[in-house]
Amino acid sequence: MINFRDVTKIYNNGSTALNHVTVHIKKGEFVFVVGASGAGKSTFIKLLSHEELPTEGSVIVNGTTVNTLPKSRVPYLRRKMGIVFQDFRLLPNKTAAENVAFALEVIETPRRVIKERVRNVLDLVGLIGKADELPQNLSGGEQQRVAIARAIVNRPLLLIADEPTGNLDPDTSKDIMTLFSKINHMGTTVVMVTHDNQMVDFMNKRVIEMVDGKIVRDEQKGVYGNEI
Amino acid sequence: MKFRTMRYYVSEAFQSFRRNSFMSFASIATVTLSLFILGTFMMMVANLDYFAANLENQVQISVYLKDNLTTEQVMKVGRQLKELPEVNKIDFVSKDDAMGRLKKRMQDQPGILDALAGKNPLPSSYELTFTNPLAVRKTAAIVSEYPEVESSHYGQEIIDQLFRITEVIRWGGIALIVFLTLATLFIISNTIRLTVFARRREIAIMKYVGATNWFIRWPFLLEGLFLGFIGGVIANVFLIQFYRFITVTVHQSLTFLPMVSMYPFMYQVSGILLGISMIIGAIGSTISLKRYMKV
Repeated sequence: MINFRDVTKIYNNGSTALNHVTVHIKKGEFVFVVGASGAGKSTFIKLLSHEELPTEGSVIVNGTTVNTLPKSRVPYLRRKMGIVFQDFRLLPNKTAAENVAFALEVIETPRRVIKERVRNVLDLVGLIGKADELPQNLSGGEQQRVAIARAIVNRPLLLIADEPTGNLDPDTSKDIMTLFSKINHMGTTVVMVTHDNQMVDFMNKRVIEMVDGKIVRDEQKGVYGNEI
Repeated sequence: MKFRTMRYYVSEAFQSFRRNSFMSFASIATVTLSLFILGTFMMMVANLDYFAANLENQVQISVYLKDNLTTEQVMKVGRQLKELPEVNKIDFVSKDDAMGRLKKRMQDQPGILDALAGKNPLPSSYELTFTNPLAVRKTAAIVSEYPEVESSHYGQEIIDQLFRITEVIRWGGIALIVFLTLATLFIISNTIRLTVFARRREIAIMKYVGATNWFIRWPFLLEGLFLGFIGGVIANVFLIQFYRFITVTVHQSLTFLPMVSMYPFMYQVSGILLGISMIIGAIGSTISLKRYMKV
């Protein structure tokens, strides 16, 4: 599903975010990427979605070489991945259902399909009763569920999450993690960047640890690590 | 493109137009004003050109022949002149004809011609008119080189001056057009920038979920086109009234001054202005969108 081949990313200001990283993530895996701030975790995600391009090496996602993809094809790459952020990024003047539907509308999905899929996905994340609420009337956990629903409503092969529990309390975080796990069990590959050691230990999944742009640890069924 | 998508673009464009109504009206006013000035200049240049062309069409060269030429030589020059490009009509004026004209002009002062004592010092000549007035100067130079020709004359100074004036106005007009276009572009792109800024979150989300750039761009492009279009229409309404007023006034008080007639001239001007305004609108919106599209 994801293949980083000797990837180096040096930003224009000269800072090296990734330093010769090679990593392989199989279809259907659930992977945590952990490390201190500035270790290169966010860059790792941005390279997947073509938000940044590698300075060296190649990034392959689902058979597509992302770094050589023409700009006009990028939208179609992104339709195969869902992205969830720490700050939810919902549109405040749209209801939960509308926020989810928006993701389908802007890729010109037929209206009938939208209605059905939105209902199904809100049901999956447990928010069918709050479909018509505005984000401001939802708790943080509920807002993140809406964001997750939006990310998976297009049935992506890959779900990317950037600190999805960073703004949530531990109990809510656990629920969100369970939801990710559920989505993963349905076949979606999940890559999650996090600081949340409790959650990583709780989930007992593959853990990739980064320090200064290098992968220093990659274990199946890992824990967050003791040194931090 | 699907109909639903098109409707979405249009409704988005109108929504943001209403949301930023103050800036929208400000840009329309700027477009209107700039285009009005632009149009006034176009009308001025067109009329000066028309005036100049009118004068130039009346310009003719007089080719004075040397004395003592044989009839054969005179006819040869006539044939040569006829062969020249852009020559419209050619008339022969003999020595006697020339004297006849002079006598007619001088009939109030008959005494003056007595001094010639029956001699005719006037040369015979050819008078040329042209299909293209720009050929006047060139032809005059060529013809002067003929061995049979004494000299050639046309209203050099007046024509040159007229050419110079139209040239200055034309270049001044172009400079002004460039300046006004840039100013309008700046205002429109600022207006659209407000819309774009207000919706940057939506744009970012659209980018993340895989909307194509054109899908994101269209509503803003339409908004820009719309602002330009409205400004253009208003400017045209004013311009047409203005030109009508001017032509009527000129016809009444300065009857000798030729003016380009209202139609189809004003259709052409309006068409050009409308085109410019919409292009500016479209470019203006694309400029402001650029920064937020880089996700």
